[in-house]
Amino acid sequence: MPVFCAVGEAGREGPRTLRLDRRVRLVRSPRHASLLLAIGRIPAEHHDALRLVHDQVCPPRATAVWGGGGAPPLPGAVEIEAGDDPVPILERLHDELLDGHRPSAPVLGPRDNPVAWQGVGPHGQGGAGMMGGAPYGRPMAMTGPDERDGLQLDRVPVTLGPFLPWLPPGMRLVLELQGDVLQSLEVDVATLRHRDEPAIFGRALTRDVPLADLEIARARHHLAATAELLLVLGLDAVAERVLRLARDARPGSGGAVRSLARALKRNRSLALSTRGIGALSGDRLPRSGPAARAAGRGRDARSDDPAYQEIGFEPVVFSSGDAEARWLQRLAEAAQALDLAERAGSRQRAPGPALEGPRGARTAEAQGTLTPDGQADELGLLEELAPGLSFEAFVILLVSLDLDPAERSLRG
Amino acid sequence: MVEASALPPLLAAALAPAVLIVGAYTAAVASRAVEALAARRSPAGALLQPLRSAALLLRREPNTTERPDAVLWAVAPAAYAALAAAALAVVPLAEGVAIADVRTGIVLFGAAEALVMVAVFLHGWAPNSHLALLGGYRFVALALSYELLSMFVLIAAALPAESLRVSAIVESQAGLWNVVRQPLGLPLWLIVTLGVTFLGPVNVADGADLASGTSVESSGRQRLAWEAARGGMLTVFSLMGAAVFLGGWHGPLLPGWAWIVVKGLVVMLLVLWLRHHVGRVPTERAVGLLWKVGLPLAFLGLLQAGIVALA
Repeated sequence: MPVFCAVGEAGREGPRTLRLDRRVRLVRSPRHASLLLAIGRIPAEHHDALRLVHDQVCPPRATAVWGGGGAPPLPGAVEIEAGDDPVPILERLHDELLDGHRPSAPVLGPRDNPVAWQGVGPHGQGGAGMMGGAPYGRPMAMTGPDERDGLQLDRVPVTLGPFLPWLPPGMRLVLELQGDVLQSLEVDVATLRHRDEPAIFGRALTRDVPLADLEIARARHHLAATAELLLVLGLDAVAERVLRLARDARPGSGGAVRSLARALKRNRSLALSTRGIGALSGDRLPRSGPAARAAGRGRDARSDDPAYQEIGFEPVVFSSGDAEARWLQRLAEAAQALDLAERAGSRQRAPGPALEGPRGARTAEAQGTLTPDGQADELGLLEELAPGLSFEAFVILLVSLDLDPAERSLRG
Repeated sequence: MVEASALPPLLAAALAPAVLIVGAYTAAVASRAVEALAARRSPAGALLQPLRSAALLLRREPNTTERPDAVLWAVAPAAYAALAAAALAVVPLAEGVAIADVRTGIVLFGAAEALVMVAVFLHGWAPNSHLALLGGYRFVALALSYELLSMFVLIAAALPAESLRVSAIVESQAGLWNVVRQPLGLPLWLIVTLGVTFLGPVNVADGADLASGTSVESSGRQRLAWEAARGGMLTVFSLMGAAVFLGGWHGPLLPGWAWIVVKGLVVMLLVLWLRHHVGRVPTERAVGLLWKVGLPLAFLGLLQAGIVALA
């Protein structure tokens, strides 16, 4: 059954689990789905967008909310508890829909355009001559200088998200395109309450946690981030293998991750798709985390952590800092984390001055990851790097950075 | 131009859609099976899944977007399928049997292939949607690069046959198949096939980064027609690959048509294997590679075929 997932806060694991279930086929556009599944908490700012996506699922359709908590933004949607398996419920919904026992979910609207047609000017579009204006509140594409060759082409304003499958939950992109080249980018982040990472990292800031659990969670995170990149490159089957490795991650299963990394390195196409794209260096570098280490910079807070020193931790570092280095870095760190989990045995990690999270060093006091003065946060980096990139390169850059929009939201 | 070997018009008219539909189903089954193997799971169920999906799509209500070009939206899959049928006309389906085995076979085939660009662009243009349009743009940017390869490998294959007729090219491989005689031909043909059906590394039109690109707004019958036409096109290019590089109907024991089916399936599986193992390469890089590496290789193949033909 074709399902479109609209992913909200704390919902990112949902599609990853569903992808491994053969009864479900995740689709990339709501137009291709029979069922709409909202996963996690959908921020209030995105409720209208969710209703729009709902109406894009062509009837007969049904909707469900998985782990939404509180008032569901979709009237009539079936609610599924966060801990429950949604697949049997989705199957039942789908069967009822096909048997005709369940009426198709109604249009939620609004049917009318939010802004009226501005019928001014010689062609009724609201601008002067044949140009300009904002019919139905949407600005017309206007010519402007091109970043690449100076040719005057239309600049098309585009809003993407918040439910595009490769976008991190809670994020919307407002961009201008000229052909397939980005001219400007603005990242719009909804109000998010929690970081997009395994809960154990939050606990570890203040409490003792088993080191092995922490490392397994890290490995899972890195593997899932790698799978996101593979999905955006159209390698669904390989992504499925990576997600299965993440699901089955246990202390000592680093060998399987390493052999997968070798296979992906041998697959030259991945280098073709990612090498040299989104290279970060100098000031354009987060201070810590895998993205910084992939550029040969940035410390790993685990180096100073006594629990890790005891089991012989050595940070992994790559040098080129591009999208390729980032997926290599993540796979290497995932394999290393599983080795560490094995060596750690039942060792506990006590809260220390800094914790190395899956995206970088954190302290109990600082809400965001540590970003010293003069260095942009990663969303800022994205906005800075995007102009001039082709849409494809931009998507690879964005996905390879493994961004968490909550960083910006929590910092205020 | 049509020779005596052409089929009666009524039979020909029935044969083309039949081959395309059976081919589209085969391609859908094969794609699911290859994907399952690539994901290291059992391909069980691959036979029925495409039928179930098709039934679901047929039951879906038609959808629309804000101010689409409704006529072109409906025409695009039909045009793409019609081009597949036109290309199929010259492809041998059994020994000495093709729908229209014309003397200028590879020219007709190439003409149909070139017009694919128009059908795909219309499919991206018609729904009046950003992501779909971007898919259309990108396909137009890429298409010429693989089309040029196709022309040169087909001409190289025509040289030893001293004819542009596809059946003559098959006949010329009675002693030695082109896959051995012109080793560059088949690998380049696989790239051409990926290009014309926009799969895998060159899926710029319906790529995942565009949430399915030109298909992002398509639902129900519209989507079924587009995917079926894509499967049909893959079948035609696989059969053409079998005819031009793998000796077509030549082979021991089995009848000619069976060899064509087997070899066509081999080419299709090779293409689908690439589709599930090779990630999408950014358009600019793909174009660069096709011009800087692919085209020189195609020239080299042509040069080799020319020297052999003159010797």
